[in-house]
Amino acid sequence: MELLLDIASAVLLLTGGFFVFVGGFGVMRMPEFFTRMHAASLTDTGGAALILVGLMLQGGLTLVPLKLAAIFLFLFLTSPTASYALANAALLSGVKTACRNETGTQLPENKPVAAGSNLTTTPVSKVSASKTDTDKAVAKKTAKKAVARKPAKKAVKKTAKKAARKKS
Amino acid sequence: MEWVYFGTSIAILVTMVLAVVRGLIGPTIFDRVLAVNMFGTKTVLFLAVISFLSGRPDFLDLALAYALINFIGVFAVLLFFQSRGVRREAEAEREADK
Repeated sequence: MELLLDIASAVLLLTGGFFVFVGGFGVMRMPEFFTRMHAASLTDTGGAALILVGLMLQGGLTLVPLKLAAIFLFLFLTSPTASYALANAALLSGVKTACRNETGTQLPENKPVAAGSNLTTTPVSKVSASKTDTDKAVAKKTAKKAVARKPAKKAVKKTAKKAARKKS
Repeated sequence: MEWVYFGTSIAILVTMVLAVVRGLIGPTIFDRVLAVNMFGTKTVLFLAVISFLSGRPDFLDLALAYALINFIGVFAVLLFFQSRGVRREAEAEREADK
């Protein structure tokens, strides 16, 4: 029984180590950001699960497997959330993808990230799906400013008319 | 069993090094955040394996605490960078008004 547990946990741990290594290699070698995220999430799910379950088998009847289970649960709640937030932030600030659509043609706005630019920023308002509250607030501000500008323009016109009358 | 723990920890360490390299060369800020997040997750796994390798189960508590800190840290950085585009727009508008 002991030997069986040892073999099972060795297999799980080594497979997990392999998954982790492949994920790290993918993060190094993948061509652009979203594919790199895919590789990183491989290590977060496959690698972490296999390694933690492999350690749990070695814990015996103590508090150790419980703690490992807590780590497991926490990692599996947080890493998808962090991945979602990261992808969302990247998409909103306009990180370009190198992916193609169904017909195989390159997407029109696909341009390689300019070398040396630390962050590619397209204005958030240009992304159609990003009508956030902050956008609305900005829109309201601009509307208010436009209203505030109109009387000023009228005043300028009035003064110009007065000046014209004086001249005549 | 020692050599299994040893091999697993070596694999995790190599991945951590690769994550650090990606964080250093990563062209966008989000690549760097991704690398930091991955480094943190690998640290949790590494601590768990090391606790078995050295026979000290206290390390598991450190791993749990590190997982919590890592998650919150990544979220704080992301919130900062997510609102940066909006703030830049507002600043540009203010400049245009002057």
